[in-house]
Order: sequence, then C-alpha cells, then structure tokens
Amino acid sequence: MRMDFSTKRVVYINLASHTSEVKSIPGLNKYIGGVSLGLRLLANDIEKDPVVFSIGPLNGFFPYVSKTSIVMHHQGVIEDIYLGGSLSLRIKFMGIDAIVINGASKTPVILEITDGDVAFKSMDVPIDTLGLPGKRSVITFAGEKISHDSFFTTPETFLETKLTEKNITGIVVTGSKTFSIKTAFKYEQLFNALLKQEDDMEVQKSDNPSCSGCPMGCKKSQVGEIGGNVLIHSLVACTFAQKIYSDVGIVFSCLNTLGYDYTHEDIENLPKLVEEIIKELS
Amino acid sequence: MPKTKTLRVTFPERCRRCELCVMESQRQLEKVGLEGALIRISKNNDALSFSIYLDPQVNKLDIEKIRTRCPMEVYTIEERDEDGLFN
Repeated sequence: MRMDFSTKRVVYINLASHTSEVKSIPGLNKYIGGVSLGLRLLANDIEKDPVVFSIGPLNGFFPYVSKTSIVMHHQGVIEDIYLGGSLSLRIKFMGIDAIVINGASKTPVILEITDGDVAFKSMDVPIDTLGLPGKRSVITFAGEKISHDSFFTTPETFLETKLTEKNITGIVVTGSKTFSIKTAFKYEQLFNALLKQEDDMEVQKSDNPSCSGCPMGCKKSQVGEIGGNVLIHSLVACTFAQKIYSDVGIVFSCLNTLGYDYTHEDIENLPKLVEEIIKELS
Repeated sequence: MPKTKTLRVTFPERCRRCELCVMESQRQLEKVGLEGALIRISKNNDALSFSIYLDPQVNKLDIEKIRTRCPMEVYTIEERDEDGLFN
C-alpha cells in the first residue's frame, strides 16, 4: 500500500444504523494525528456523542511509538486516554488514522473491523473467532474493566462507561496492509538509532507483555496513560519515551524519512491547535 | 562440508510480543506491516505467554540481525552440516 500523505483516512461507524464508511479527509493533515486529530474529529461530530480512537504517523514505523489515543465526552468533560498493547499497530496496518464511533446500538454488539470494513456481530459470537490471528487486537470486558489483548487496560473507567452506553461489548481490529518505504536505508538507520535510546526511557525493562514496537515490557504500560504532552500524544508515542519524542528535531526526521512534508512550524503549532479545539468544545 | 544456519525459537517462554523480530524480518523484505510475515506471534490462553511460528523462508533473511533484535534473547541460531538433498 502506498502511504497517502495528503489526507487522513477515518472509519466512521454509525451504531444506530449498523453502518460504516471510510472517508479520506484532506483538511485534517495539520492535526498530525493522535489526540490532536481525535479532538478535531470529536468536535466535528460532538452532537453524535462519538468515541474516537486515533493513531499518529509514526505508529507502526518507529520504536516506543506504541499507544492509541482515545477521546470522548464524559459527564461534561473531554477525556483523553492512551491505551498500550498492539492496537495502534493494527489500526496503522488497516491503513487507517482514526475510528469514530457515533451513536448507540439498540442491541449489544461486537465490532469486527478488518482493514477498515466493519461487521456488526452479536455478543453471542465468541470474540476469539473474529479477526485474523497474529494480525488482530481484541478489546473486551473483563468484569467492569476493559481488557485489551487479555492484559492491557485503561487508567480510568471513561471508556468502559462510554462503550457500555453505546452497547458495545467488544472490538476486534485486524490490519493486513503493508507499506513500502522509499528511503529504506535512512529509515533503518533512524529506527536503529532510536531503538538504542533505551536509556532515555523513563521505565525499566520488565517481564510484562510489551506494547507492540517497544522492547521494554514495563510495569507501567498495562494501565495506559491519561493526559500529558500534546506532541507525544499526537504521535502517539509512549509518555515514558518523552525524552526521545518531545525533541522536535527527531520527530521532524522521522516524519521526513517516511515522506511526510510537515515543517518544524507545523509540529510547534500543535499545542495551539489543540487549545483552539478545546475552546471550541467548551 | 557447507553449513546451514537456521533460526530457532529456543526460549519461547521469554517472549513478550513486542514484535520487533516481526518488524525486522518484514523490513528485510522491504515492507512495514504484518501481511506475509515470516514470523507470527500469537497470544496463548494465559495472556502472559505467546507462541511463535517461523516460516522456513525466514532462514533466507539475515537471521543474525533478527536474533539480536529480540530484547529477550528468545532466538538462537543453529548451525549444522548440509547432508544431502534435504536440509
């Protein structure tokens, strides 16, 4: 698959009608990804009470860029949380930048999302039979908490409340697209250099399951993250890698290597863009 | 006698499914993604351990690089004599 650097590809899911569509939206590029993109999409559809999953341009390509941004409106407040595990890579490998889930289903439903196509499955279907093994991420409930890949969960209960309101009992995401990189040698050099910056991580290596693309297996990522640095969460890199990915020069190099034509100013302007959306929403 | 080098999953219990080995093998095939991957990792029922499946074609890649990519040293490289038609 050729990467399209001029648009963002968004899966829109309408739970009331059990329909979906993929839209390519050019005007969203300045939001780069993650929380910035998610907030813009949330604001666009706010009357439909969306929950928005979004990733950034570096997810799936560079180490420690391993989280998925999730934004929603919860009891009058805009909440942003960041989920670890394998989800961000599966969304990337669908060739999708964000998933917007609008409205509520009349009956309990499992969303099976494969390369952007959505199937609405009855909650009676065993969730482990959905998606493609090795290429899927599974979100389900373990009691009152979300369980992602049977290990990862969320730092609060905003997502759990929202999915329950929407009558969603599970989500299975499968990504089977591949991408080629024009500047393969430069990409590999940069990937290796970043991977070696393990000492800049704010967590210690441990023996927990890892988020995809991260060698740490740390004890903190199991419960995800909440709030924090706008640039980190727009990429959506791990907060514990903020020494690496809050460096605008490094971010610029990564984006440039993949073929994006963002400028330093685009990256520096992100906090202002997010501030504007939050003002619009409040 | 020529030697054949083979990538082996020697310590699967150490795997934490970071998928860096999958990414490395795919990168050597000049792609990013999971489709057509020569290394597949699946979660076991206990959620804390994983099964790793190697396509024999992986041995045509730079397996030393794949081995060293794993932070948990799950893989070893087995070296043996080529002994006839089948190896």
